[in-house]
Amino acid sequence: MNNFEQYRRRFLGGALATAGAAMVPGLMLVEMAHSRAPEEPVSSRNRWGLLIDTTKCATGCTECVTACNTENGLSGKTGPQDSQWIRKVELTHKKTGAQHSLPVMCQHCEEPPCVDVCPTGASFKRDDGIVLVDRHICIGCRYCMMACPYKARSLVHEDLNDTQLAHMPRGKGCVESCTLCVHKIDAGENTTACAEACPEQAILFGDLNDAGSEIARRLATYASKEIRADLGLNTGVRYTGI
Amino acid sequence: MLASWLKTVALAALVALSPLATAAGSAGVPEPVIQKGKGDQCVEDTEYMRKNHMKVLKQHRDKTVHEGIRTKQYSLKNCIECHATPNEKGELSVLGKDNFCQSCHTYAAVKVDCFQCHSSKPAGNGAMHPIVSTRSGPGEKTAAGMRHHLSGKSPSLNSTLSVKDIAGVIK
Repeated sequence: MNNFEQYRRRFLGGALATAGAAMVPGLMLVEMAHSRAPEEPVSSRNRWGLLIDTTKCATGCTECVTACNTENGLSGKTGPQDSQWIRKVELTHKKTGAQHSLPVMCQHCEEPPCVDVCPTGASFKRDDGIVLVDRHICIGCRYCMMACPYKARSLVHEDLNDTQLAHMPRGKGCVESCTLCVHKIDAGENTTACAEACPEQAILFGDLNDAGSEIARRLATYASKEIRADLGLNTGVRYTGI
Repeated sequence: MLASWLKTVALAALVALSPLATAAGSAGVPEPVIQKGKGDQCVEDTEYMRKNHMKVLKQHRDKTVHEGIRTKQYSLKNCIECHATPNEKGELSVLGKDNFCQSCHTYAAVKVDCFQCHSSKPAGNGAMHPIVSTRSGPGEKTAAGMRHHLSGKSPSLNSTLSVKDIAGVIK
């Protein structure tokens, strides 16, 4: 081993050790942010959301939709009476012809119109920003479906005949939509089925309130958009590249 | 005179017929089959759970849906984990003629709404409940649960409780 090789090894070893030390505070932050005990209620310390990079999202790819259907026990049919929690939307710029493909699901608004119009209080926003339907209270009136600017909600029209998954109760006569995989978040898994399934890593899940998180860092660095930002709903799902 | 004679006859007939009436009543409605769940005990006393399981479940449901509290003690999912037994089709479930929820609810003529939305089948492998049965180690519990799952039945599932045991339900 010559002198140069020895020097190179020393340098690399030192660099790795430094990198390891630098990682520790970051890891600690992540650990602290998601260590909610099972008996501890959710709080507004967290605000969960998604950042979707439309430049990575491939036209025709429906991996996230399929993963969502599998995770939540949806049929996968796309008829007018079937539940769709994620829709793939294809956009074409009228003048340039530039094409974009993006998944659109419940945008988990800070000021959700579906909650405003719900006559029973079934449609609600959890303290950590997730917009949900309490199916015990939902009467299936579908006002929320009318109010949602994103066409994110579906009504279950037919009896599901005990085909529901244990972690995702669903039933005839209730409105439903993307839950941001709330069962995974409550279990501390800190991810969603769509984000895990995306082959291009175009979907990033994270805590918008945690300045140290990847999603907050990227939102602070790059330009991102809300769909229908003019409505002032402050959505939890953001897009880059459109 | 005639009236008092008639009264005596009617009374005698009533006394003579009363055992028959009682017998007919008890034969009419079949008693619920109460299959024993997994583990040594429920999350509360059996008597308490018979009277209050619906209140406990309702309180827990609101906490879970709105506050994200997913403790296992009063979770419906964990009720099913322990109380699911093979139904007519051989699937582990709490619904079915002789299965835990339906058997008793049919007897009491109370409609059970939970399973319009919730799955009546256990989520995982039907392994032992983590809260009760603390006597054996976690490894043992899982192994026992797996064996139970594979064979489809366990010795404890065949034992049914006596009429005296379900007195709380009949009252």
